[in-house]
Amino acid sequence: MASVVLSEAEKLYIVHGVQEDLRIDGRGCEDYRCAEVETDVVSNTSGSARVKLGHTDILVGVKAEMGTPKLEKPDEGYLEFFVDCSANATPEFEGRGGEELGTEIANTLYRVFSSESSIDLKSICINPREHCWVLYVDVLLLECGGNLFDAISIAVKAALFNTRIPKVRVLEDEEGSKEIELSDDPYDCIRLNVDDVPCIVTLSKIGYRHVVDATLQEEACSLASLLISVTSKGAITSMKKMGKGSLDPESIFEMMETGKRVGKSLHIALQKILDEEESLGTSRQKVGFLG
Amino acid sequence: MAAPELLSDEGYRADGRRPAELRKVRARMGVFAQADGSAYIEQGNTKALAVVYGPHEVSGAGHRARGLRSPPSPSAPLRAPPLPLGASAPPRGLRSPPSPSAPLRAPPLPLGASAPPRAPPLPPGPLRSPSGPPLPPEPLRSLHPPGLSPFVPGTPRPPPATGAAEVRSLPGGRGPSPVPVPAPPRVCTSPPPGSVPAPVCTGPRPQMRGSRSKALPDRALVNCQYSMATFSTGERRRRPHGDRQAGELALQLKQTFEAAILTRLYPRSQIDIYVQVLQADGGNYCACVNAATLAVMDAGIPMRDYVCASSAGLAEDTPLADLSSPEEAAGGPRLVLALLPASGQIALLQLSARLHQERLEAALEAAGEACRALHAVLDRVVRERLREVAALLGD
Repeated sequence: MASVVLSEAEKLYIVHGVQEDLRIDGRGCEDYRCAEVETDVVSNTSGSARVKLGHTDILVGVKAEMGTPKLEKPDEGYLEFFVDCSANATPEFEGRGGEELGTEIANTLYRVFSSESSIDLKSICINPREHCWVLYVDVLLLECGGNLFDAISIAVKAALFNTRIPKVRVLEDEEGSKEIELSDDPYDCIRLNVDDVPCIVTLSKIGYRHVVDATLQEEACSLASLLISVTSKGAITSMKKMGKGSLDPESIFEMMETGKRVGKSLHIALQKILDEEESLGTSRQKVGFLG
Repeated sequence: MAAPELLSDEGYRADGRRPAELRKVRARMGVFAQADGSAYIEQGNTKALAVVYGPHEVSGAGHRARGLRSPPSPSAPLRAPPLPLGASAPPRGLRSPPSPSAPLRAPPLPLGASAPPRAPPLPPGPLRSPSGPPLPPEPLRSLHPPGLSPFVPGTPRPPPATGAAEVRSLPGGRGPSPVPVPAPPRVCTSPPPGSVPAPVCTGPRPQMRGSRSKALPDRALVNCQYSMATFSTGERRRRPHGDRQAGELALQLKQTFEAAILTRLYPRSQIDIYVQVLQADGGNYCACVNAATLAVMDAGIPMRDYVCASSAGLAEDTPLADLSSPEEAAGGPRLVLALLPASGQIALLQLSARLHQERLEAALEAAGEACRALHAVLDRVVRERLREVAALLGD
């Protein structure tokens, strides 16, 4: 994983700062860095979003393709996650170097979205047992500046918000053979309800305190972190302890409380931005990577 | 040939362009902060990102070497080699002497004996300043390489004849090199300091990214990766890179940029160029080359010239410039050209599907014209970026 190596003195400086609730970039322990979110950046996807959180740069593309429902859930569509840690982020990821981290993140995303309420999968089923939409959520990691998981989850939520799946109708003739008809109007599409899509909040334990949205330097000082996924209502849908250190149960509960609080405000801020962007409509000037 | 539908009766293409017209080009340099150089380009709906790391040690990126070395000396500055070493021979820190050469260097005597005429001018090394030119041509040969590149001490390895030939061709081609570092006298590379760094530098070697990365004694290694985002194409791709096509394109990219970058200035080092297609709509490879040019410039790596790439096709007799994805899919001849516009030299030429020899010239001309037009655009982007940076620096 992309990381930096700090000297003892640098680490001590960071740890002492965190104790005083003042981090190296001037934030408090519960503050996120300034995030940039833009949706609809790749026009040949069903939905896409780019999120820049500090130096962390994520591009997510969602492609809807038709597939067969899974046997255990015949009346639901499903999501597939793929994370590409490209060599753009760091040369270590060249070739197959990023696969390990990519798989780890993808598995985390599967777990985060495993909760039934997170997204209405029934709405993307076309024809039970036969056809459904498969949403391929492809995450592209372009630059790595700490707190990957949170940034990726924000980008995934924004991309799902932006996703438009064409409407199809199933026509059945007398002999019982079915035919799928695509709507002629390209604007006739279904949107996903992302209200209950969780976001990941990573809390890194530094010294006796924990911080959200750690930078690479702070991640180097943190031995253990707790990753929780929170919905906009403050419900926790999954949790995972990360890092080589250990955490005592008491601090885990403290961190959960912080995570819920921060997660809620994160959702509110994100939703506000997404709505704002949406209201600009097609007249919006796309910035992409040119800004 | 599926030519008829490529060009309408009125002489317009499917997307409304005239035959020689390019798609809209927008580009930006310095997209990412962490990479040494980065650029983004949009050519119509084709979007590509390029990132450059380096020049750095061949033994993997600076990051990795850093991570490995730091534990013993936690306060060590990021890249610097152990201090005493740096003091004795500054540029050596970057070099990782390949193990085979170590035995060669250890006995200083045979070396001196093998090249007796060169040995005399060397001992006064420390006194010698980079201003060597007024010397007679004979010693000039031996003096120039150190002035050109600090790492040359390693060059005695190849047979002396070829080494000298290469060296001589260099100063002729270009002006004085920008590297002013006084050469570390060959004499002091061989004794103790030479043996000390070996363990330090060879440490990270086993961790090298791929055994294929081998330091070249006389120039920088250009390492490329071409990948396409899984969502970039109409139909979702299974994986971003690692397929045959990506491998081939990476190799082409490497050859293109080896022709353009002044690799001799950075012997024993590596330059990584990673390109990523975010959205594919025809001319992906060309967009990548153009983005990589900007990224290499953003990294401050000296190049002979811009590398501008464009594709061209033919509709009956009319050459079409900058093919879009439907035009590529039509299956006519497709010419990909990477041009060094100032000299008009061709860095890459590729033609797929058959084409009558007589028409090649027209297609080549159209692609060349498109490359020159692109050069103007890229040049503007670079100059704009320079102005921006200069303003930020307060000049």
